[in-house]
Amino acid sequence: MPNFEIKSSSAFYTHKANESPGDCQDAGLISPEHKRYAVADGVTGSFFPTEWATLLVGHFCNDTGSVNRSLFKSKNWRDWLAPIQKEWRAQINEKVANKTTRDAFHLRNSLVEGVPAAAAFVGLEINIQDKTQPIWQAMILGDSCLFHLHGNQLNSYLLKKPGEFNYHPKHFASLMSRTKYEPEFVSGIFEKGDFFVLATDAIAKWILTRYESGGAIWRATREELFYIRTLDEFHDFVKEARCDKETPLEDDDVALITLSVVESKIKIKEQPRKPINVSASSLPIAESVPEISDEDVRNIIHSELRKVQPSQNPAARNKQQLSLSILALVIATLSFFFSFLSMLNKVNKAPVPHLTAKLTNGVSVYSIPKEKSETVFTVKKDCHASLIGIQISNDEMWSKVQFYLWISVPENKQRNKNKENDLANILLSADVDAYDFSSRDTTVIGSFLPRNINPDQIVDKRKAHNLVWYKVRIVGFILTK
Amino acid sequence: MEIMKSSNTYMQLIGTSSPGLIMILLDQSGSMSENKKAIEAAKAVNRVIYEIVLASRSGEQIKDRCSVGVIGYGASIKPVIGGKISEIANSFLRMEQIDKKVSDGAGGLIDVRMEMPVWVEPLADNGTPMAEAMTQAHKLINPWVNDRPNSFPPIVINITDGEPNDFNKNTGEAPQTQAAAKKLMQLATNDGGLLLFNAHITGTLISLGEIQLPNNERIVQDKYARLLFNISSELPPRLLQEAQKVGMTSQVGSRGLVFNATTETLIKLLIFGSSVAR
Repeated sequence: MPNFEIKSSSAFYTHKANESPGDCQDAGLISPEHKRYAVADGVTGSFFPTEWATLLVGHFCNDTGSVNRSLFKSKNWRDWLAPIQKEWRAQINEKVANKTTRDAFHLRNSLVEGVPAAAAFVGLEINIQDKTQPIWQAMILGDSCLFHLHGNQLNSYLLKKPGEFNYHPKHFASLMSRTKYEPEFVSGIFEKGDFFVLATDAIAKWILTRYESGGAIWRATREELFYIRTLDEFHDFVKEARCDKETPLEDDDVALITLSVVESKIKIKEQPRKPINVSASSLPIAESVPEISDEDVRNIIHSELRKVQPSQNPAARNKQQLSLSILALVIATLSFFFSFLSMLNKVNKAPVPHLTAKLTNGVSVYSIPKEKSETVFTVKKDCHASLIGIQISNDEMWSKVQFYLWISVPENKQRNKNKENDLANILLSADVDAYDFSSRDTTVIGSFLPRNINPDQIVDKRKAHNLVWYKVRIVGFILTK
Repeated sequence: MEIMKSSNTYMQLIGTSSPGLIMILLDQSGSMSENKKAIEAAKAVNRVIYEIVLASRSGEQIKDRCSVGVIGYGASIKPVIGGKISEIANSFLRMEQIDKKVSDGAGGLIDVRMEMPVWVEPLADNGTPMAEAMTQAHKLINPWVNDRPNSFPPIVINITDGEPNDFNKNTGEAPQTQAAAKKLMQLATNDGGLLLFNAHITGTLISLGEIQLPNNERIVQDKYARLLFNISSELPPRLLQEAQKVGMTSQVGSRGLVFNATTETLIKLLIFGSSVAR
């Protein structure tokens, strides 16, 4: 089973700046449990477009009937559309019947004339059940877009360029008698680290424009897109985009969903392939791993222990107590080692030993041992890290590790003397390979996520041939239970 | 005074926070009774108001994206209707039942009965006090532009079948009308100057001498047509596109003028002229 999952934002949508919230005719919905995500753009001036857009996304994401579930197998979109049209008609009939004001003539006329609602649509299904390559599938009609980001590349469906957006898009109509456009079915493969975006036309066009600009503009937009977590952040993002001087976002409704393909929680709970070695004696110590005194280690462990919060929940409290017992045992074991080794130390005058952990391929180092943790580093080849702390959250034991590795940057990419800025700019958009500098073949030890590099993590700098090497301190947590 | 036209004028979108204004000046002089011009013109105006209602709706509500006014001029100068579109939708004079054929989606047609509100009744009496109508329009629009400096500028469409009261056949001038028109065209928002369009109608189905949206004074031979040409605004790019969409002959520099126009052409002018509200 693939060891990743989909992390999705909410479906965000908002109205034109020129209008009020109730006027928004875009809709968006996510259904992680059904693996379905959709946005729809109700055509302004069509008949009850908001209701239509809402019904389309709701049905696609949540309907459990067989026609909807097997939509991508059968590609029978007409059978899929028919019940939604029926539902729309029923809703509208009721609304119009209930409207008795003098100005209701326009509603009755449109019903009688058979005026439909219209909406552009993107529906995405992500399938990671298969043991083989996971695939995504989408049904798209009109100028709402699906973007698939793989590394630096953006694949856009169906429209490819900002100039292709016009004012007469294709759409799903809410009456069978007015249904004349056929959607397209597209699909593809994806990998860990990829992103998906579902966007209605205005924001889609804007994203494509920013992508075409490339460079720092695109990198900034990419960052902003995938850090939108709350509705407030979304509104700020839209407001800034509308005010952008060079590429302003057109004033239109906006609906946006962002999905990231991340390391799976299930993988997190799996053990690294080999158990952590906590004995110090015979392990080769990599040149770059720092020395930490045993007193420091004791202090760190004690300070981490203080962070463990007692839980109100009796069941959790039991778990907590169990964990604490285990911890006590571990501490006791460690303490035994400490005293044993320090005894040895006094006797043999050997170098001060310290606790190391051997990290193997596939282990991820996280910034904090909680659910929404950021991956700091992904290990690809065995390496060693200092064990500098332990933290227990719920029933998981996390070990805090520290180690040093090297990253390189071609010399001609260095623009100014300030090394922090160099790294931030240059490495922002790509995972960075890190090396054990001491090994002569500079084998890639793992990949580092450069957006998480802080200036104070850089501790050394060297030049070799046309490369500038930075020694970076990596601190994070690994799951050890 | 010529309003400076820069590339970022006439860009505003009409919406509830920056509503638009469409004003129709409707000739109701005695001659309008010929060829059913009064009836056709009133029908056209009622239809365009209905279209603006449809364009302003959001679900079952009518949003105030636009204000509409109609000033009739003939025996007197009278605002026939005026106000926000949501108010206008509720204040029609009477309802007419009309039959229409609509597509059944399977290649056939079915008959449906629709309710069409009447806001403007046909009227034809007396002369053509066009200057006074434009002055009245100025009085009503002036405070509107002052209150809404960021809106798309007002659009005034003047529908007439003949020369105004002050027209001199020899000189081809109508001093009061020209002055009133120029004054009207000086009203402006930050998005541009007021747009004044003129529709001179024949009331006939076919008109051999019809001129659509000329861009050069030399195209119009008739003295009165020249006068109207000089008091018609140039179409901004946005409206030029809309004119082309409804199938009118137009080019860069086209003025909002139709002369010797059929009813169909009048309707097209009204439709694209009010397109900003849709």
